[in-house]
Amino acid sequence: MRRALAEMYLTGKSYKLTTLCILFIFAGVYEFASRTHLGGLRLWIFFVPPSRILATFFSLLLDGTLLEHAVYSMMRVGAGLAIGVLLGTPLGLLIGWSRSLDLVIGPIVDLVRTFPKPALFPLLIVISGIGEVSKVILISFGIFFIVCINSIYGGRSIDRVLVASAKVMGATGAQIFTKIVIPYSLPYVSAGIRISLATSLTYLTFAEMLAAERGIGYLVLYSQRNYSYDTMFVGVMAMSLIGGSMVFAYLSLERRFLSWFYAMGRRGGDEMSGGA
Amino acid sequence: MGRRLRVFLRWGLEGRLWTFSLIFAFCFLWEILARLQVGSFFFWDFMVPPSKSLATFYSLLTQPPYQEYDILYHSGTTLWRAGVALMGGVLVAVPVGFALGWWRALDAVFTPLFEFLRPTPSLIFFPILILLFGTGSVSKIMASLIAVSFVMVINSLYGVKSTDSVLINSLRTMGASNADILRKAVLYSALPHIASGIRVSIGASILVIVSTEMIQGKEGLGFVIYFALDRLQFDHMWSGILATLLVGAGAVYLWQYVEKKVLKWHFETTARA
Repeated sequence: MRRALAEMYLTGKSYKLTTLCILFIFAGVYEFASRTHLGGLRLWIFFVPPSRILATFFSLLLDGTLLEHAVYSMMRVGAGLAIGVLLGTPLGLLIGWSRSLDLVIGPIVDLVRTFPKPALFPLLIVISGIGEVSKVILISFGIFFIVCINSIYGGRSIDRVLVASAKVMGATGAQIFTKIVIPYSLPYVSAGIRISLATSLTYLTFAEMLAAERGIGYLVLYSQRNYSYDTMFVGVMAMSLIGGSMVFAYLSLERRFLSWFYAMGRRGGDEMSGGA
Repeated sequence: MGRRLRVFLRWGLEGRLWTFSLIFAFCFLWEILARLQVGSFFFWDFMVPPSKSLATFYSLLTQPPYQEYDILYHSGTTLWRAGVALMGGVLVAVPVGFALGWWRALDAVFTPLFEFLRPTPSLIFFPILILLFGTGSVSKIMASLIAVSFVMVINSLYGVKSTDSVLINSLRTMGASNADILRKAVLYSALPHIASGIRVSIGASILVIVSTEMIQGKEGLGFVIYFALDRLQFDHMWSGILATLLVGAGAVYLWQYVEKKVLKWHFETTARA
């Protein structure tokens, strides 16, 4: 018995088991308390038992409503992320590489980064309508500054001596870009994208709660207002599943392609995050 | 290019003169285009000339017409809500982060859960929080507190983990107790991480508070902006946006100043290394 336990301890399996056990115990206590209305009925009107949440989850998944909302949310996030990253990365690298641009534009980027971007959403609604465009613009605008700041750090980290000696030895611009600029800045850019994944979901939820007809954020607020609390929890569950799996997938990609960077014992700038 | 010109350009760079000039030029261009109503007429209805927004901002600050447009009052509301959420989040999350970082078993069991839940936007919990705590300040503060505590747990956890293991081992061989190690070594290596966590959290808490005020509420800067949208008073809306910018940026820059003062030892040692 002791040997088996020790083996589990060494391989780290026991921890995963414990995590699962704790989740199950939590769900069990929750189920029991909500079925027996422990300590009064008032609280348990909202807190539907987990078995019912799961049942609703699968029924909504099977009849396609949940999938429709999820697809709309993912499309908005995907478009917003793509635009924000495609615009923010080159600009950030340029600012980080050029010292005078860094001194002139850097503070402006820093200032706008601290600004709570949802405040601009009503204006975006007026300019581009309640449809998809305003939501995508909000997400990409919010992402842009995070990606940009991180790319600025990436641009600053490029070794100038290396670039100069490559030039002296007759390297072309494309060679310098692929052999020096990308390896130096990629970890920072990638950290920016990793942080943006979570932040984009915040902007998405906000936009969908304020003005939308489809999407997970809309589903949650709408079902709260219609007293269908099981659907509300299904929406929350779906959102955390989307967020968790997005970041998890990205992390495994990062581990695959940036393993050389993490092998150096460094961690790309988590402290520059702007998430919520 | 003469030497004097180059010196002048350099001087402007160091003194942030060109940054301010750029912002000023942008506003000036906006002002002219808006006054001339270049292109579509409606567009400049929303993009009110900056001078007009500034005049409205000033009048709302000095003599607000009614309580819904009392910018100072609503900025105060947003600020105290964000402040309470921030303090609550730090008080809850830093001990949790220390516990997770100190006991390896806890870390192995709970950190995967935290990492999986971290990308979940705290705004998605807002409808549940309205049910639990009503439509007042408490539900908004709780939504913001969730956002802050995720950031702070992860940051203080990595702060504790980043402690030099040689330092801990040598303290232990010299007979230091766990409390001593925590107080003399772990705390000081975690503090910079906690400070940068707070910097991120300030932005996050104000963002969540403003968002929730816009979704539902009768007070706060988010409400002011949405109220102005309902009445199509775009100069009032721009003054709300300006107030949000001032509150958000002011809080973050104030913290950065405090951080530099308090953690002077940390920045000095890392600069030298």
